[in-house]
Amino acid sequence: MEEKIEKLNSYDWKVRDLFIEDKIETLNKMFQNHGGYFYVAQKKALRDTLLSIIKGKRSLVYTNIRAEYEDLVKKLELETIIKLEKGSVADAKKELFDVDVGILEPDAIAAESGSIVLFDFDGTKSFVAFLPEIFIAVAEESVIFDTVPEALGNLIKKYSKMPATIQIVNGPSRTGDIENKIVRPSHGPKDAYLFLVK
Amino acid sequence: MSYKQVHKKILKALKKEDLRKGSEAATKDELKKRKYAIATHKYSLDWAEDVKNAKSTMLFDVVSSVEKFRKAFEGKNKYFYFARTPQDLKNIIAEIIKPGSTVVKSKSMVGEEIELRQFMESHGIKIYETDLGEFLIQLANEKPAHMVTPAVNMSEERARQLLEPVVGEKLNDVTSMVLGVRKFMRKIFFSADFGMVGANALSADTGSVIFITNEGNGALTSTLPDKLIVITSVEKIYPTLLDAIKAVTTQAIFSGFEYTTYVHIINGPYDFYGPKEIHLILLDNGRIRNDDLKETLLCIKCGACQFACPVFQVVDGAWGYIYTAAIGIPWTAITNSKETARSLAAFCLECGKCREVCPMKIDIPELIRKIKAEEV
Repeated sequence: MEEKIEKLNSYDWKVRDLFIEDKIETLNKMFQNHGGYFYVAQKKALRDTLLSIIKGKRSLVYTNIRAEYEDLVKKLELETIIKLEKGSVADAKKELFDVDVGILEPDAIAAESGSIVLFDFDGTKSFVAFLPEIFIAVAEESVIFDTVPEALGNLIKKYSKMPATIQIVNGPSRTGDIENKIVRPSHGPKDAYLFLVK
Repeated sequence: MSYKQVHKKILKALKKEDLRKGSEAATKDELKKRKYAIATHKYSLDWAEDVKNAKSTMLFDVVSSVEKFRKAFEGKNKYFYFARTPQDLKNIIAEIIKPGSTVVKSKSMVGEEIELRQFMESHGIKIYETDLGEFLIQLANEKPAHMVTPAVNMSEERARQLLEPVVGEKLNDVTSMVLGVRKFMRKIFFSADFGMVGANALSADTGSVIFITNEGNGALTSTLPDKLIVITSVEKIYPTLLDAIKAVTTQAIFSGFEYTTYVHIINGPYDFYGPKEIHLILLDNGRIRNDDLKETLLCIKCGACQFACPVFQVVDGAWGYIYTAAIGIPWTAITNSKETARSLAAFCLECGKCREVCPMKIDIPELIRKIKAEEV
């Protein structure tokens, strides 16, 4: 395993000569292009925006968020709030069958392609990103990279091991399988939100 | 299939005016999308070249590539199988999945190639295709018309007729059909015993499986059931994870997707929620020992050559058997029957449009000519 990581660390993940001057503007454009919603929010304003999104919803699941966001989530007025971490839920499938909202902090963001990158070791991040009707990623500016490969190279270095899965998410789920007509959602979330918190 | 059978199938398709119109409109739209996607990704042509070079190094010695991948892939609760023939693969499946089990499946051309769904159904396994296009093909009991968009030739009306009895409610438009299927499939996703996915690429350095979807069906298939089965074929192996990422990106762009919604990179079972074991079956089915048509293995199955083909534009899936039109003909010769491929090759116009659009620059007309001339 160590040998594998060493080899991976030796790759040129920069891939090509690209420097995005205005990462946030590019990210904004691309994520909306995918059919997602992008917000740059001050920490104080985050709560109000979240409240408007979850209005009328009953349940929420979250994972991998820092304590201050956890406090914020816990104070949201919802019937059910589930913290998903290793062993925290006995029957996750039962509890998450029709969960309304999922929130997490992504491991990285790639500006060029407007991608959310998740390094998932125990399945929690995948469940939160794929199962709810609304998926919300709350990111800090420090996790934004230019491209997906650059983000992956950095995360491999950071974790020094490969996760069970790497998930790259570009907006909400969609299909065009009947007469090329695009419909959202298909099997994944209907709405995808990306918050950049300043 | 004999020449006569192919001829009959094509004539039948030509008589269906709605199919002709539908095909023409769909192919034009797909080619436009493709041009736009290539223009958006300024590096796409460079990456296509990198992918071709990476693939060539692995195809130079496929047996060693398989061995490299196997070593990198195998691990705790990760099982590797090599299937030389379609029957070998089916036997392995029958060992892993007991009759009465429920399987949710993502789209896989390897599955189509060996008619795996039909085998599993006959083995008493309940199998659900979760990609909408593929689900429609399953309900219609047909073969895919195209490698990426299997139901490209299906009208909204036909889709409604197929879906309403299954979903059990009136479906007035495409949106209600999609939402109806989502609701119907949701319960099955959550209760299925096995998830089954194909792979767009495999990496020999990390032993990873990479696949792309837009619908999120692959996301649920690969995370909800306790056991995951990957069925794929030997030419999907790339030297590195980076090459494999370039390959799936290139495939998506040349298929006409500016971006796919999901890219999944699977390295192992999760250590808590999600699948606890992964079985990967790598199929040969004539690929390794096929020297005369070896160039076919460079194909990344983007389907651009099918859309560019003037014959496909008029009759679409009718010109082919599982692998349709253009590169579908050498694929048929390798994986199915040389006789069928020869019967199909007779209808090639030799216009060369397929070669023009191929990101791997495969000389498809030359491969078809070899088949036509009985040189293989």
